[in-house]
Amino acid sequence: MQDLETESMWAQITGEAIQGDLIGKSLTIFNNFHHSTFAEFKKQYPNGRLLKKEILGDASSHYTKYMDDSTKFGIFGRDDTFSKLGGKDLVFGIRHGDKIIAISKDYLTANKTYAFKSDSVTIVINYDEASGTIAAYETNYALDKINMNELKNNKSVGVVTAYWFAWISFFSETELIN
Amino acid sequence: MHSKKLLMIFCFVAFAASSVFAQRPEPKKTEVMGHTMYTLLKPGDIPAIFDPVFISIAEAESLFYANEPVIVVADGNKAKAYSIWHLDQHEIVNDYINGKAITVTW
Repeated sequence: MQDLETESMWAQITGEAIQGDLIGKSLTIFNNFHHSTFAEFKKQYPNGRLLKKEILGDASSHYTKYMDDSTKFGIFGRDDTFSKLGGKDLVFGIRHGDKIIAISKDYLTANKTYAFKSDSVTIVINYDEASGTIAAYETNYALDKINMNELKNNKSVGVVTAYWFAWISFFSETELIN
Repeated sequence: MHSKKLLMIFCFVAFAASSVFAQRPEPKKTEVMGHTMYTLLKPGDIPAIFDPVFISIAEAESLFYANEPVIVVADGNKAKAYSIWHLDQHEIVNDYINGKAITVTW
């Protein structure tokens, strides 16, 4: 990405400026965003709004068939050679202190919560089934004493939703929770 | 920084495959933090959205497939959805939610 004001270049996955006047600066990762479908969005947010488009679907999009074959990778349909997860599997990535963790969507939607220690605090990532949102927070409580209702008042931690191929390409040393 | 207008000209995760690629000369190579970066497009080749217009779910019924993938941004009582098939054509939406400047990228 490039911002028009300084023409600095930004990396999507990290949110960090990698070239230009703003090199080293970071965008804030916005929590409470997630991938969904129109049908799910309608159910979860009946008063929600959608970015206007002009036509039904979008036949020109490269992504209308993108998820149809999990063994093929990329819009050119190369063979998927990624290990541990499929290249197009979604993960929730967190960087905190020296920790770099990716939690698979399948794991988090099944278990709802994952917690780990980093820099003497506990990081809790939570999947809210009702809204479909994923959010992470710091807490000083021990892992077995975390109050989920109080978590939202705590300091939030940025969670990046990414395809596995993108996350692992940036963070080859990542720990995968799956 | 949030208010900066962002424009996609390059994507590390290489989603874009526009026909404009075929018309391009050799990609521009630059060294960035020890890595070689190939710039395939010039600014504006994939037009970002700067003034997004939103519609209600009722209005969207005739424009969205049920299984159409969307990115959902929720904040308090506000929720917005952005079709990934639509973002494919733009890759960046400069927007606000509850007064906070955000950029939605694909």
